[in-house]
Amino acid sequence: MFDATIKAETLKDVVTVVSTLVDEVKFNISKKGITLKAVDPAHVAMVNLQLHSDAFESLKATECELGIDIDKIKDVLKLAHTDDLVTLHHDEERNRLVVGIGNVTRRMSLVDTTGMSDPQVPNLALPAHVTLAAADLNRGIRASESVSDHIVLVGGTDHFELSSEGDTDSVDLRLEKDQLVEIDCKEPVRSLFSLDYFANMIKSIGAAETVSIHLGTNFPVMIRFSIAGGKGEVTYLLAPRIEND
Amino acid sequence: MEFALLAHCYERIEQTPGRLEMAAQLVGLLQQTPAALLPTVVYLTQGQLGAAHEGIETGLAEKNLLKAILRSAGGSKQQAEQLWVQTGDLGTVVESLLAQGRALGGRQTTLTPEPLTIEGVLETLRQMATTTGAGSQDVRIRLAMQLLTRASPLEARYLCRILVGRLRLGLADMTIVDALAIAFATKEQRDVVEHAFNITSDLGVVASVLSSQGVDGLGRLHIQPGVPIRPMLAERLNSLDAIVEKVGSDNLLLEYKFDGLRLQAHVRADGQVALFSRRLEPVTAQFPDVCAALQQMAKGRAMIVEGECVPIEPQTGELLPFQVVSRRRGRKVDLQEAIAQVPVRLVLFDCLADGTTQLLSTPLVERRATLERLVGSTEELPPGVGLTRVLVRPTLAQAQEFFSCSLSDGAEGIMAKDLRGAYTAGARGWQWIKFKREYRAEMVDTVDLVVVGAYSGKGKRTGWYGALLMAAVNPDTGLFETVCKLGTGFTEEVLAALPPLLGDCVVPLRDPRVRSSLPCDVHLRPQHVLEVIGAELTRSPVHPAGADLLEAAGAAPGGGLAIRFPRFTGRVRDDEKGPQQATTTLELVDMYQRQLQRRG
Repeated sequence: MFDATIKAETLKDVVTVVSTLVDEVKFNISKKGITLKAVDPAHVAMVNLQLHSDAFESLKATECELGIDIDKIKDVLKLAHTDDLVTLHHDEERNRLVVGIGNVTRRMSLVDTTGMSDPQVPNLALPAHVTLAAADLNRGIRASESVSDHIVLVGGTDHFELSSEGDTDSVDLRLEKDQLVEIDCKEPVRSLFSLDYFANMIKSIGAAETVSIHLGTNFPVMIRFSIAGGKGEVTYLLAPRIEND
Repeated sequence: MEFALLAHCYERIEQTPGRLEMAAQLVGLLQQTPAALLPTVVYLTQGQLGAAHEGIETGLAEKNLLKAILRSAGGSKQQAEQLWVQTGDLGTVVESLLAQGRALGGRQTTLTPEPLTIEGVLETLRQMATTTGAGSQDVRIRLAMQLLTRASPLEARYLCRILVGRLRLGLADMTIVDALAIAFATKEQRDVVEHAFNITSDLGVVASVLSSQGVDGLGRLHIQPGVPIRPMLAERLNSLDAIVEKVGSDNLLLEYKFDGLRLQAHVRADGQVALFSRRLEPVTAQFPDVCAALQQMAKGRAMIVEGECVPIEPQTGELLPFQVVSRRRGRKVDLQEAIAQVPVRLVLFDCLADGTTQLLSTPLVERRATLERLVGSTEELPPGVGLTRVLVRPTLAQAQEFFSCSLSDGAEGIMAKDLRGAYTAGARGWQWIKFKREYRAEMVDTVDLVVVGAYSGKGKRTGWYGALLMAAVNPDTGLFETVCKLGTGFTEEVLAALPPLLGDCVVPLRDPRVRSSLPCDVHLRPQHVLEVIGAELTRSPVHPAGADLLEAAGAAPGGGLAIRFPRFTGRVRDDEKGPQQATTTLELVDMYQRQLQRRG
C-alpha cells in the first residue's frame, strides 16, 4: 500500500536529483519513507536518496517497490505551483501510480522492477572531509566551465580548492579554513573528475545551504547534502578520471 | 567467462592469414566456452548480437561511439579523428588512446571495476539495442562507456568493433562452420554442419545443438516457421544455347526474373506472416500490404514461399523500376503513404514448406506444382501477390522467344532451372542459372561497385559531383581496388541526391582500405554500392583491380582491370549489399577471362 501527500517542491527536488543519472528508478517504499539507489548507465556516478516519513504531509505505506518513469513525474509536476500539494496513490489492481495535483489526476503505468537491481555501493574509506557553502561550490564550477571539461578537487590540511586547466587558460577557487564550515584533512588529497557529471550533481543541490564532501587521491568523491528542509538526505558517488597509471 | 579470453583469441585470429589457422584458433576458443555461452560467443564472433534474422543492433552511431571513446579514454578529439580517418576503425582509435600512458584529461574510471565477462557484455549490448525514447542516444553512449571504462586496451579494440558490427577478423561464416565441425564433430562432417546452418541461418543454434547432441542432433534440426532459410543462389551463363545444353531441354524450366527485392515469406496457420530479405534481415514491418495479401492467399494454410518483391504502378498494374521499393526502407517515410504511392507485388517462384512438410529436398517440378496449388487461381489473387510466368521443357527457339517476351514484359531476364533440382539452401549451383538482358552486351553482367572517391562537376554539373571513382573488393584482402571512373547514367535527380548520400563518407585522406593510383577531388569511405554496366573489361595500367589475380593466373604484369564505358544502371544497392558484398575482383577476372574466350 502507498498513499501519500507531499509538497510539489519536495517531489521536484527528488526528481531533479534522480534525473541527473537515470530515466527510470525504483522507489523502495515503507512507512519510514522512500529510499532509492540509482547508478548511471556508464557506472560513473551513483546516488542514494532517502526521504523520511516526516518529509510527507501524510504517509500511509506498507513495504513495496514502485518502478517510476522519472520523465512522467517531471511532466505532471510542470502543472504544479511551488506551494501545491501532490497526492500519490498506488493503484495495486492495475499496477499504476495515480498522481493528483489540484483537480488534475494523472494515472501513470509503472515500470517493471524485476530487471532493476539495487546497485552495489562500493566500500570506500575516504581520508579527507570538508563541509562548505553550496554557493561557493557553485561558483567554483561556473569558473571551471569556461576553461575545461574537467575539474580537480584538492584538499589541504588548511584549505580546499577547485581548479581546472584548459589548453591555454586555468582557473582555481581556493577556500581557506575559515571560509569553510568544517575541514578534516590530515594529509593533502587530490582527484580529477568529469566536470559534466560533477556540475550536474551540484545543480541538483537545490535549497541546501551546505554540502559535505569526502575525498581521497584518485578515489571516488562522495557528496552529501540534505533535501526537504533536512527531512531527507542525498549521497552521490562519482568515479574519478585518472591521469596516468 | 571473461571477455579478455575472447579478445585475445580475436587478436590471434586477426594476425593469422590462412583460413585453416583461423579455424584452428577458433576451435580452441569454442572448446573452452561453457555450453550455455556458445551461441553468444558465436554471434559475437560474427560481429552480431544474435542471429541475423533477429535483427538486433546496438543502434549506436559511430560518431556517438567516438564520443563514448573520448569520454572514457580521454585524449585529444583531433588526434582521435585523424586516426579514425587513417584506419577507418574506432577499435584501433580507442586502443591507442587507452595505451597512451597519459591521456589528456585522464581516463574515466568506474564505480564497478570488475573484469568484463562475456555474459555482462552481451547484457549491456542488448540493453543498448532495446533502449528507446528521446534520450536513447545518450543512454547508449553511457552504456558504451560502462564497457569501455572497464576494458583493457585490447578488450576495448574488439568492444568497439562489436559495437559497430564489424569485427574485421577476415573470418567468414564458413570458417566458423569449419571450426564448429572440428571442435564438436570431425572435419569430415563439416557439410552436415553447413547444411544445418543453411536451413536455420543461425550459427548460434547450430553450435549449441552440435556441442550438446552431436551431429545426430543437427540431423534433427528442421526448417521452422519464423526462421529464415539461407537462400539458394544461381550461377550465370552468357548464352541460351549454353543453358539449354547444360540443363537439357527435357529438364528445363524457364521463369521470368524480376528486378526487385527477394523475399522469403513464412506464413503460419494462424495467418501471421514474417518476411525476410536476401540478407535474412526481418523486413515484415515494411510490407504490411504483402503480408495481408499472403494471408488472404494462404486461407489458413501454413507455408514458406519465396518470391521477388516488385513495385507496381497502381493505375496500370505495370512493373516499375526497382528503385521505388527502396523508398520503403527509410524510417522517416510515412509507411502508409509509401504503400499507397508505391504498391508492391510479391511474385512467387518457389515453395520451401507446405504446412509442416518441408520441401527442400523435393525436386523443383514438384515444388512448383505445390506452389501453384497453394497459390490457387491467379484470378482470385489479391494484387499484392502473384506467381512467376514459367515455360517448361522448351526448345531453344521457344526459349529465345520466352526471353524476348520477358524483356518486353518488364522483367530483367530469365532464370533457367533444372526441374530435377532440390533447393540447395545457401549454395550457388548449376541447378539455377541466371540469364539477364545485359548478357547481350559485350560485358557479361552488371557489377556492384563501391564508391571510394568523387570528382567535382563541371559545366552543367557544377556544384554536384561530376563523376565517381568506383572499386571492386579483393576477396582475399578485403581491400577496395578501383576499376573505373563513373560519369554516365546519372539523372539530374540522382546527381542532386549524391552529395547528401555520400556526405557522411567524406574523409580528408584516402581510406587505407582503398587501393588506387588515381588522384580524386573527394575521398570517400567505402560504404555505398552502385550497380554498373559497361561495354567490356580491359587491362589497365591505371586501375589495380584484380592485378594480383591476373598475375597469379599467368598474365603478363600490366596492371588490373578497367571497365570501358561504364554506366550507372540507376540502382543503388545499399539496401541489399554492404561494401564487402560488392562484386569481387575475382569475379571481374573471371568475367574478363570468359570474355576473352568468347572472342577467341
